[in-house]
Amino acid sequence: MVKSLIAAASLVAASQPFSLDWQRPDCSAYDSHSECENALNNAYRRGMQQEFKDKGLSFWYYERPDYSEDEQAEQAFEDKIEGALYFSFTVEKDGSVSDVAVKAKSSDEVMAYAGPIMASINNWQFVPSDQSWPDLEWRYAFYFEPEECEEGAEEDTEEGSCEADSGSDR
Amino acid sequence: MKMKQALIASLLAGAIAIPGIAPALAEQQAAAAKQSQAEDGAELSMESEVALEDLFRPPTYTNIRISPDGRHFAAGMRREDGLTDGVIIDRRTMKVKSVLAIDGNIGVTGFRWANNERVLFHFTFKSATSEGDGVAAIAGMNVDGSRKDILWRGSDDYGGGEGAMLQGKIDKNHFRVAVYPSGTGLKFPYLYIYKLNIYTGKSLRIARSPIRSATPIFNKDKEITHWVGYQPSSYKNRVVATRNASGGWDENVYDESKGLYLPEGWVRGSDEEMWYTDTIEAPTKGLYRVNVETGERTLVYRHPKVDYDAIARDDDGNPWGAVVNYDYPTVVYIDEKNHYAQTHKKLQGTFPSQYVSIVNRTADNNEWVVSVRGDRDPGKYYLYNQFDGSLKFIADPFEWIDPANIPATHPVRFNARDGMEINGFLTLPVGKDPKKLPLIILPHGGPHGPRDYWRFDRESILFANAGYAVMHVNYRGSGGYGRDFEYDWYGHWGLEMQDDLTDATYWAIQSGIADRDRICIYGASYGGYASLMGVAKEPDLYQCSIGYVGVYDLNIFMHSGDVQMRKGGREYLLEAAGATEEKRAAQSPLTHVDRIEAPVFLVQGKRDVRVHWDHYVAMRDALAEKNHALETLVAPRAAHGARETDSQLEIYCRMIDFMDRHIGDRKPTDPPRQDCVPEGAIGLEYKYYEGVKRG
Repeated sequence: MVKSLIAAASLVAASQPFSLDWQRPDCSAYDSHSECENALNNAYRRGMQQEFKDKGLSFWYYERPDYSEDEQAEQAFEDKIEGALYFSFTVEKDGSVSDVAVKAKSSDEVMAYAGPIMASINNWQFVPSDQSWPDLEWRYAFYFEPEECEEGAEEDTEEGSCEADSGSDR
Repeated sequence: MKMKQALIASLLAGAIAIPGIAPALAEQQAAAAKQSQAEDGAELSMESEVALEDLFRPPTYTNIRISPDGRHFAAGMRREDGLTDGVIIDRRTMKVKSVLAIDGNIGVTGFRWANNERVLFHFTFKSATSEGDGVAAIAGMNVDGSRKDILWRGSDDYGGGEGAMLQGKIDKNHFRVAVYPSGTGLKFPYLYIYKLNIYTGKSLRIARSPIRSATPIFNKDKEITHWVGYQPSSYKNRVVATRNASGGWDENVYDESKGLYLPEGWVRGSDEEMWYTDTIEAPTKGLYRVNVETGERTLVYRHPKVDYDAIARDDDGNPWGAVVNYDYPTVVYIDEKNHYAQTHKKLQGTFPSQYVSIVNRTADNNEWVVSVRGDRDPGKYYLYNQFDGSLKFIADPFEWIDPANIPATHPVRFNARDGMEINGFLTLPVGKDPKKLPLIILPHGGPHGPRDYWRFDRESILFANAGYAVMHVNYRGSGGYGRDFEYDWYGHWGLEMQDDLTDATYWAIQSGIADRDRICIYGASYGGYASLMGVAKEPDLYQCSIGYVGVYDLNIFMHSGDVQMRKGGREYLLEAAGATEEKRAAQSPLTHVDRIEAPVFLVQGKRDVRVHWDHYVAMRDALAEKNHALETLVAPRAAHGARETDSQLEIYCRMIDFMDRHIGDRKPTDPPRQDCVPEGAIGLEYKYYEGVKRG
């Protein structure tokens, strides 16, 4: 199967350096784009875990953006628009999310992805706590692999697949 | 209680279970369990911490799997009539969103997410005439409950009624389906692969294996490059068919007793490297990374004592852990730096006395369904979120089982009389000092290939609940400890293989755990053989014996039952049971029936085609003829072991009753219990032989 679009919506913790001159990741040190993407995502997740631990935040329901119903986002994927979007939001005491907003963007074009992302963040549910957390940040980044997908055994969908790695699933 | 434990576990992992959300599912489970308990009727009055019925009650939920987009769970949910429906649960509310319930004698046995909107279910049509038999079918349903369709009822291409198993995904509308034609079992069937449209049910045959009982290996272009199968003419020969340049297949045959070299799959994205399993270089299974162009191979993992049971891989297919069962199930971290290894280590640390496994993941791998189970817990489900590193309790499918009331199982190890290391598992009753306990030696069936594990073992638990120490023994000839441990002992039934059980018994006595005057040996199939051989060979060691669907005469084995019907089966019997009539007779319990002094209880399924009815009749008549203290129980519809709950309840009730009278608190002369037939059941055919000397 040819993987036409691979986007990595890598996410950067609020504690990490905030930069508008976003550069696509250098994956030259990795054997494959997938390994690069997974390594970056895993590094991010570990960073996020520390962030969440410090704040005592814990997801109850984490929702991924559904780009499939958004024409702008679909077109952006087709056009392989790369870049990053920074969102801010507040986690209320009851665990709900409010004040979701685009805080910064690497380009105007990348805003095409924003709608589905904001809709999903609005649906996030955290474990209730004794305080609210305003102005939390979250980053979605989009970068594409122009090559053919080198997919191996696909019997076990748990192992991940080209389709599973595609940006449209984020 | 369970919620509290789950909450504590979650907190230990840095997580909190949300009151009011997670319990929504738990409440449904509790209600279902309560209702089920009420419908099951009065419980049998067993003197145990956990009612026998509770151990046999099927799980409220099975196979919980998260959808690729993380918005839903799919699960099997037990229906009031005992069958299982397929359900979709909304992740946000944890409420059941849609149900796939198909009229008829059907139950969900498994499923997989086809995509974010559709789930495919395996159903089993239960046989009305034979316990445990059934035909697998495939159904589909969208998450909103629409498009409920039975997609595959079986193919008529090979005589009709062939069930099917889902394999890999082809594209968004199609899955591969594997079909083994029925009626070809004696020669081993070829595997047929169909392309199934998951919306219309339309299917198209796309491949047939060039060798028998084979599984395919696909390359990155989704072409089949290898088949790994069996050779019908030999029970121990494995065949690897490799596609050659002209499109044909080159075959290599490996004798498992000498060692295997089998491809497992391609390294993700590679057309040069493959994963191989090897038992040629060493007796235990080794995982190798092999460059098929150059032949260069690298050993990735091999345990010196036991075969690995599974390899855990990361998102890119790289192995990070090997599951081994030397004593406790353990994940050996092949790559300590791997993200998955580090995460699993953390999760395992949260549940130090249980086994943690990743069940499935969302497509972006951010969330995992995790199963946690152990010797006292049949398993609970949690959701792990990689962003916050916490576990959330999802469901306890056995909510009515309190691990605190379940006997613990301990791995044990001893040296047999010739110095060979033998492993086993000892289950001890709750609340009893582990000294001078009545003991049940419980050898597994097989004997070659199967083995026992540290796990929630229902049989051990029900006996331990009745006050008995229970010892499983992985005697020589068992599987899992390498090819030599298994294959060197073909033909040694009743000899060293039996001595290992004897030595295990002495080990338990000498360690002070067992009361030497209260020991019984019980097993099923080969375990039944070993049980009767035990009391024949060591008449002073055991005070009673139970044979369940046991092999009692190795010469009967040569001409009855389904093993001898295959060419490979006949080869197996000659090597495993003995090449000559004299040898087989010498190693048969039936030949030594005069040496048996301990009371015997024989349990048999009338439709058993593996160990034919003739074994039971021969042993029953031989014991009856010498006026032996004998009891028998026949399950008319059961084959090689009863599968229906009512049958199982009666069988184990009567077994415990038998144990109680011979090594328990009652007397051998006491009459058998009259309350072992479950309410509403017809009952099995039980006979207590009168007029014989007991006690």
